[in-house]
Amino acid sequence: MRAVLRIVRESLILGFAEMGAVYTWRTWTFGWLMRLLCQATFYALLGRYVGDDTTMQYVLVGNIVVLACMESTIVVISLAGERRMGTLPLLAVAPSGHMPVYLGRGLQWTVTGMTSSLVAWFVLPPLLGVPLPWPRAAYAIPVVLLILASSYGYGCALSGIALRLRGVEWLVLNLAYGIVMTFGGVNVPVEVWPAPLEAAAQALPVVHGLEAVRGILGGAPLGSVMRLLGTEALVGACWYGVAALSMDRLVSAGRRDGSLGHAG
Amino acid sequence: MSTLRVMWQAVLLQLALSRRNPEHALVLLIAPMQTTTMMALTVTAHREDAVASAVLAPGLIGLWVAALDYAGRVVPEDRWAGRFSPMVAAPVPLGPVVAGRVATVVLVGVAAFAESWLVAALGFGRVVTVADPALFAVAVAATCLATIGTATLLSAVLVVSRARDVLQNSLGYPFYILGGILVPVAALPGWLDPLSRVVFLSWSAELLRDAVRGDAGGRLGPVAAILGLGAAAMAAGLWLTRRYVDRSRREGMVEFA
Repeated sequence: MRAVLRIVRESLILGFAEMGAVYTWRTWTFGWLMRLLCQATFYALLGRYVGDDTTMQYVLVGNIVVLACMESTIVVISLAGERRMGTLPLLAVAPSGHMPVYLGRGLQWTVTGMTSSLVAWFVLPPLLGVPLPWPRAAYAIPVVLLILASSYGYGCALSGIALRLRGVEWLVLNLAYGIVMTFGGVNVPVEVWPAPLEAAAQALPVVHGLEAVRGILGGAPLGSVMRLLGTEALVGACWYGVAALSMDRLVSAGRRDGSLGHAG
Repeated sequence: MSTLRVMWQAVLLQLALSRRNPEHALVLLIAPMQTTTMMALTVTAHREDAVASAVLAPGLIGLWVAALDYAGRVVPEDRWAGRFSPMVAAPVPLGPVVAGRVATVVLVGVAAFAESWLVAALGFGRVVTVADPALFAVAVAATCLATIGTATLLSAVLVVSRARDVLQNSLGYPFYILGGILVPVAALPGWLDPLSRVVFLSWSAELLRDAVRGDAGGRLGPVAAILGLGAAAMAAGLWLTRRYVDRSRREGMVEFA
């Protein structure tokens, strides 16, 4: 356990050092964060344009929560970067085994994802004239943390594709969170989609957690909220399982045929 | 070699490069998902009058993403691939080469309009018809030219700036709001209006919506505004490109990756 915590710490240090090469706190705040706030605002304005304040709040809540998913799936880019630089074998020979190192490679995005979602949660609803019901809105914050964790597993699982088919990491990233944004109950309820699509959407992260967030805001009974949280945790655990399996196979095949160090 | 011939050669070069790089078609992946989101919201809110906007917006976003995403990559990718030095050494200016290459990707972006129309028709059973096809074609052509001009400027700005990734990641959604590409500028707070007017997307979005509805009258002004803003951006982009090429030569930075 101590070894894992040490890897988490080192991963965060590495991740933030990597971020520091691109962003200063000013460019992150006034560039990236502003962009995310504008993204949520854009869809919220669309909600008000086609509907009313209720539609706007529904869309806004969905788009604020999905920011956590969006940022945590950037792990796809971080892991693909290791492939590009040919450093995957160096991570795989870590004494702890490749799994915690690979899974920890994008942890910095979970911190920034939570920060972005929180800032948006506090700032956007009053700014756009659809304030959230406090203190219930505060109870939803730990749920965003759970959504973040399950989305990170989803991102790690999809990294497997980007690590195998090189040069497609941006396509995989955009597809990953695009699918959640489109079919994950962010802008319209999942029930809107045809039955097969609705069933498939149940396997996505965010879907159940976001429903729990909406339930908390609407004063739903604790039992139904807890059931949704359990499902979100289960979905997240399954994605971590897929990620572990995918990375295991990648490393064992790479060790066998020497392809793990292939950059590209 | 004439400027147009340089641009044509740049288009051919870009086609050869893009064939091996699937990420240049990113916009074609984004557009159907965005159309689905916007159409779902519009249809579930029973706003049939806003369906045309929901179909046009992903097309405009597609053009902007193509311009922004690729414009910032041209020079850095050339530097990494070792193409930048011979390009700078060639007896043709770099500006038209960048413009020609960006134009190729922007034209791919136009396919986003077709994609979103197809998604609306096949996925939602809403067939959007264009009441004034001639004006629509003029609006799309003017918008493409303005996008190429803007992308040439963005390419130069992103190369000169030390915060390339930051700018590239940040200049999307603020411009979608300012450009009124889905929610008309008139529905935004009044103080945004002057800012919107210098973003060519705001003129394009209105003109395209008018062409679809067929209630356009005296539309020379918006077309001139789109072309004027695009030409101004192109001129500024070519000037800035010449400046950084000269500076790179003078200070021995051409080989810097």
